[in-house]
Amino acid sequence: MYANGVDVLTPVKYDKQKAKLGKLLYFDTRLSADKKVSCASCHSFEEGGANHKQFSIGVFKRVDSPMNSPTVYNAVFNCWQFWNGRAKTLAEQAGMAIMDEKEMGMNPKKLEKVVNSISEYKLMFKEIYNTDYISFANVCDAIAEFEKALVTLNSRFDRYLKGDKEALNSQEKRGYVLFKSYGCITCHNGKNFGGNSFQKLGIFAQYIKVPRGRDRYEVTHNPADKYVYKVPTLRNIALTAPYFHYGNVKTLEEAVLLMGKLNLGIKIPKKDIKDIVAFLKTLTGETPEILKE
Amino acid sequence: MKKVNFKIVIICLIGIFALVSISVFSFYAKKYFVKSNEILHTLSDIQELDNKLNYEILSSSMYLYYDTDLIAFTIRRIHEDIKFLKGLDFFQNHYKKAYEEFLKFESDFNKKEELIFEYLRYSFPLKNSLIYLSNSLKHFSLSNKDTKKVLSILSNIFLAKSSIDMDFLKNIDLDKFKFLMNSNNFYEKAFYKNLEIFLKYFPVYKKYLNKILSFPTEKDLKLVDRSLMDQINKDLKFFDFLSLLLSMFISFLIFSISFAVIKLENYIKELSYVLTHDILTGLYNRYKFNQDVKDKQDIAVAVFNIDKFKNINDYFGNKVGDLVLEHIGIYMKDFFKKYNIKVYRVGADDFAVIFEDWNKNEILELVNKAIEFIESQTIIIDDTPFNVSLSVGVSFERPYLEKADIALKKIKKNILEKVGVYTKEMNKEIEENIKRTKEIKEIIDNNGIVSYFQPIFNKDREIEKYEVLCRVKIGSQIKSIYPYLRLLKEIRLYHKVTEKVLKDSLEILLKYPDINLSVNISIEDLMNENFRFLVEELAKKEVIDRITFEILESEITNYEIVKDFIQKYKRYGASFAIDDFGSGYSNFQRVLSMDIDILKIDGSLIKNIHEDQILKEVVESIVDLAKKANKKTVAEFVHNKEVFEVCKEIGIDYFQGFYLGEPQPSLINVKKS
Repeated sequence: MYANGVDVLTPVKYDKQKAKLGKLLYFDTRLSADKKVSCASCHSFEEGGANHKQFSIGVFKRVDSPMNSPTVYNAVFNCWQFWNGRAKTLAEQAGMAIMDEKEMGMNPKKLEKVVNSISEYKLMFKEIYNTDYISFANVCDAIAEFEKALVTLNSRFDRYLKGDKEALNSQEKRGYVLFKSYGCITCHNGKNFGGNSFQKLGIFAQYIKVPRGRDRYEVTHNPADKYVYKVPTLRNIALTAPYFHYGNVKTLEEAVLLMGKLNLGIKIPKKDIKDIVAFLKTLTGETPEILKE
Repeated sequence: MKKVNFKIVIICLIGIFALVSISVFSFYAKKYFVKSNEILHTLSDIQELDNKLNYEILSSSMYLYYDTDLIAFTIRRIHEDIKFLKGLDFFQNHYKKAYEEFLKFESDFNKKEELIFEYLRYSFPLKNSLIYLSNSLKHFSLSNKDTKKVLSILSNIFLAKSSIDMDFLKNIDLDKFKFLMNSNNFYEKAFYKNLEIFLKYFPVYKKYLNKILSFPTEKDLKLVDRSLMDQINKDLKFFDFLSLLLSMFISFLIFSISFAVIKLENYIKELSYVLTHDILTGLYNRYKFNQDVKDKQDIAVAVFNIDKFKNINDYFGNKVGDLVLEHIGIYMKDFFKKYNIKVYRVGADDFAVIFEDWNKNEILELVNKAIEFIESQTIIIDDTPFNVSLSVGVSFERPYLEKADIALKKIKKNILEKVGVYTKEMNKEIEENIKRTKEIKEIIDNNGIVSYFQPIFNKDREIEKYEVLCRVKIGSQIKSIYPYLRLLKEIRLYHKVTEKVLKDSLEILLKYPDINLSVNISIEDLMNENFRFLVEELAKKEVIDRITFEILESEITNYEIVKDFIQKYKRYGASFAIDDFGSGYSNFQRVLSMDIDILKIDGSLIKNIHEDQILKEVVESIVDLAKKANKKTVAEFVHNKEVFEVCKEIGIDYFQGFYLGEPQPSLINVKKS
């Protein structure tokens, strides 16, 4: 356990019926104020469960700045949600996103009115939740249940960890050693290569050019928490460009370079960066079953 | 009975109430313990997780590679537990103090969580600096002196990190390494930067680590635990009190039921005493006797009977009689106690004992001893001494009492003997009686009683009248009624015979206007309605003046009734005779005072009169007396010429007997000689 610091992804138990219902809701634009935005708008499965734009576009074409959309894949393994961890659970995150005026722009009452007017949902919730009135909490719960199914299993790296020494080529293996020896693993650890602690961006920088955005300070109001964010997951990182909270880093190479500079106080040589990026690409897992249905 | 039912209902209600109380009590107690247990369990889970959290934090500082999920998920689990406990209304409402302290824990834990995040923010870069500091050495191009300096600082840093002791960093002067910043070697430059970070972060890291590990969450939980235990102890005391109350209640119930059962047992004892004992004497009773005798083999039963006990009751009253019985009972008991023999009162004045494993001689010896003992006692009641004599019947076979009684009755007839043992022959007598009773009933039902007529003559051998006698017809045989007479009286059917005689007489008298008849009546007949009716008929038909009613002297127990009867029908011309006069203790004065016409001298005085001078003199004096009283005399049993002659000589008026004329079924064949 301590030898690795990282762990293989494993499936999470979930309620299949609820997850199916959650999937419908996830893709349903009727849940937004302008009926044009769904969860999938900012967390698209064509875009690694995230969004290739620096900032996503929410309801009424509002730009959801200043935070880049993190991936929904394996979010279940994040101990907290959002960049600053203001949501403790998946359901809480879903609820907050629905209510965010730059994202889906609803409020619980409005959402309930919309959902309860759709007979299809009425029937399904009646059957699954045994309720005649669909509550805001019901909706969030179903979406969260769907998200539990979004685990990307069997990445090449996981296969390697499980003992398949051939799963990585020599460059990728070198990259993994470098990942450890440069100390990336210190923060990007656990099942999700991150998502389990809050760290400061730019330990070695005098000042950072990008805005803080919604950092940990917003939650704790502790001045030391400025520029502190939840360590993002590196799973499927190759699919979720652009990078960093501000979404201003376009490539993985640049991201690795910046991390070395800002947080390790070193300039990682290009050759090493290439190896590390090669390794990072092995963290891309398979598309979850529920998305193939 | 109603009272008992009421009591039963009350007891049932109390019982149901107790049961309901117990179930309600156990229901709430169970609920209480389940819920309290849940709280305690969750609290101890939190405690464990909090300890684990501390352990994980230490681990994360120790290992370079560390899975932070372990910390994050432990925090999450504690939050889940907190959320669960806060959702328990029972916790919030029942353990108010503990709950408030728990809220304090929650707020402390939230602070601790923040500290952990901060700690991690210092701990991780520290680790990375350490990695870099050790990793970059190989790329250095320093002089030996500088290398030594670098190595020494590196070793201090590692020591500081491993011991978490700031003392190792005290003597480090960062300025001495500033030259590295000017180096063209990139790694040397980075080394300085990382060193700077390490020295800057390490004190903060240590501060947070200490803060986290000494954060009062554990103390908070202990307080919660203690308050909880205090309340639980209080509750337990209350439960104790409740159980005490309940057990007292149930004890009371059990006591009440026991009391009722004891009372019931006493009733049963009393009842069974009454069932098996004779109240007057305190001896066992007939029921008990039957019970005791039921399954026993080879036993004998002796029944002690007080001779003429009825007289004591008649003369001195039942009260005295009862006292006598009581005394006899005590003597019997006293006597037989020595032999371990029970005494039973089986009848009014009958006392029974059962002999088990005694032979006949031993029994008779003991019975005689008992008689001797009891008869020797003088019972004094109100200064009057009473002595009783006893008779005993013994039976060796079933049914014991009945057979002992037969033996008793038999022995009573014998003045000299006191103890009778039942034999089969005794039973024969009884059987004979039973047989005869059947026979006579049949005879009566089949009109088997027939009238016979025996002529009564005057001294000139002319028929004066006929005595109407009875015979029984069994089949085609005519037999004497004599063997049945006593039975008929015993079974109260004698009046049927008289009725038959009167009916036949009425017929004869109506048919033959010159004939006179003499009929036997008993004292019981006088009280019989049919008899009276028939006599009235005789009077109405005006034939009663040709009838003589013969009454047995020995039978007259109530002279008044007889006198009334005589007086009444004398007026219609009926005649009256005393039958068998002189057979017993004849009371001349009494007989003569009654207005009767004829004395029929008893056959026993006549039978041998021709040979016995004394008899002759007795009869002579009777006749003399009768003449003086103006009564006619009749001699019965005149069975030969000599007797007839003697009787004539003495001066008897009428004669009857086989010498003169036998009884005949009709009046026709009258003997004439």
